[in-house]
Amino acid sequence: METAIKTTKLQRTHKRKPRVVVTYAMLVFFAIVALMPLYYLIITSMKDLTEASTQATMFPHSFALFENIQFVLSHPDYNVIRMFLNTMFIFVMKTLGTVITCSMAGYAFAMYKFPGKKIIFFILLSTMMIPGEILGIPIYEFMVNAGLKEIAYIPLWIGSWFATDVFMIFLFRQFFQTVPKPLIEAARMDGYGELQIFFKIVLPLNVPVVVTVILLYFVGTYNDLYGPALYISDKSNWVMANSISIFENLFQSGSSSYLVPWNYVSVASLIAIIPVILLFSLMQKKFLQSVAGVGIKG
Amino acid sequence: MTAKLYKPTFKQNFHRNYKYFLLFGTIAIIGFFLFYLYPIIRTFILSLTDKTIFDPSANYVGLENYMYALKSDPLFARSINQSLIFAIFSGVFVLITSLMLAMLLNSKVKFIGVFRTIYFLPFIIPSFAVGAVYKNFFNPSTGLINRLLEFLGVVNPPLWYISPNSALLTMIIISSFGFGVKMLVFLAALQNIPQEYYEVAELEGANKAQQFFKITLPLISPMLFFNIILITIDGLRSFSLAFVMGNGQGWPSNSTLLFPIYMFMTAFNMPFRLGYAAAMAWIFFLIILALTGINFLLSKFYVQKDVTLT
Repeated sequence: METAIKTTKLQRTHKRKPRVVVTYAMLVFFAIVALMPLYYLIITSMKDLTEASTQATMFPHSFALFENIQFVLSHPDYNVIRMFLNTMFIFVMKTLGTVITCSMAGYAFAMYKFPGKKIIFFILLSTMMIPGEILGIPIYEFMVNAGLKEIAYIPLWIGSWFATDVFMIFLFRQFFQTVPKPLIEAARMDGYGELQIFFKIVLPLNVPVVVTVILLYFVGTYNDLYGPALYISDKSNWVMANSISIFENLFQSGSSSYLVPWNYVSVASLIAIIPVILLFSLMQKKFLQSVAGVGIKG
Repeated sequence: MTAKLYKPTFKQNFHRNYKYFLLFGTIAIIGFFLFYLYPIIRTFILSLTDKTIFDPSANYVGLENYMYALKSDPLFARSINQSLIFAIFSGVFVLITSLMLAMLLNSKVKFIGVFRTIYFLPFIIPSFAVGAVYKNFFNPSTGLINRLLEFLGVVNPPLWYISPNSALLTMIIISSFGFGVKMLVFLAALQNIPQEYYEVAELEGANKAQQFFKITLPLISPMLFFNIILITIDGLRSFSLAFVMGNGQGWPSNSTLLFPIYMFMTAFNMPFRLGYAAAMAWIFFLIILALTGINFLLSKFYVQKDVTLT
């Protein structure tokens, strides 16, 4: 019996050699595809205006990185610190709201049993199927009529304070279900109130989910063109999403309106990406943990 | 041990649980009424009127908006069509790439962690930045793609996003890079499959394809279902990429006009035809409901019963 197992193991390692090579070849190939946009962004930001807007060289012939950075930073509309801080303000308000309210809702569904809970949870989950298009008009109407449209970006984050991100409720619930019940019972015995138990014991135990919210919301806030296009009109309120189009449309009024200064666009894009990459590299371990956790705990 | 001394009756337990549920869950219920239920009802009421945003008086027009959208608005039909085409093709692409990459990343080789990070990069790069890169890649005269095609001997390379014939296709190709989160969901599911299953299968002489169809696919079928629903809705609701590629108005000549873009233009540009946009939104909502329903029905055939999602 033992020898039989041994031989099959041996056979397998023997057979696996070429397979490993194929795996690596594919891994590397797709890694190149995945890295291509970033690579191209970096080299384009080094090219001078003529090369960047007329040739698609894979290795730059010219080197104008510093001039490009200087040009981008000195453009009167490109107030990058302000745009970044505006974006961060929206991001912080959205994330705080979601972490507090969605985690509480998730906890409510994970911990307390009573008849009818399943139906309520199902109704709540089914809102994931509702397209934002059908919700946007009345909210826009309300914001305009109430005069809140352009005050402190309220329309962009107020929903987050009412646990409207149902996916996050689901995610929090998945994690809270695995918190050992005896732990909570023990805390109750020690005289902790329910809110105290939640904020002092349960939430700190589930940092990876919070990290996931932070990361997804960071990318999400950055990516959102819909909200800013709808609710931001004043230049001083621009967010990072607006920063690229300044340079894309740089020559739109001139005689060479078809020309896009890709070098400036790339520099602006890179500047916009830096914070995302920093945050991701800081948090990626916890993030991947928590995504893996959805499956394990699911 | 002290727990045994005091055991609440069922009724007490019920009351306590209910109270605590409300303590934590009320905000979500209020949110449901304010941000889901009210807007849906209000949108329906608006859809029966000819309301524009600055016009306080709105006339009741019955189902006229719906009739107009379905019968005499070529742009509405076109945008819905294009959204469906986009959602289906980009959905299939994303599904295949994310599953394939997840399986690759699930292989037990060295440095796999590095690859996982790299594969996740396209997701964290904001789409407005990516949009600019791809516009550059696909630029017919200066872009990399056509240079490669010319190098390979293609005489008349496509005009990609410049031409109305290929703009939607270009967008579908680009969007297949949006596999990030779905890839991770698949990866998590794959990692849950006990390795022994494959070892037994291999001992019994099953080849890789058989292993995939008999073990992998059935065991990840709940995640497949989850991802298909997410991908369909994502595709139909796709806004940012189309906004960047089509300069916010479906350029060139409405070929990248997806439904969300058209609705945005109708509702929030002059003359702010909220009533009509609301009717379109309701039709769109019903389409999504129908597709989700179909997916639920079909899931009976491909989702394994004893593997559950929640």
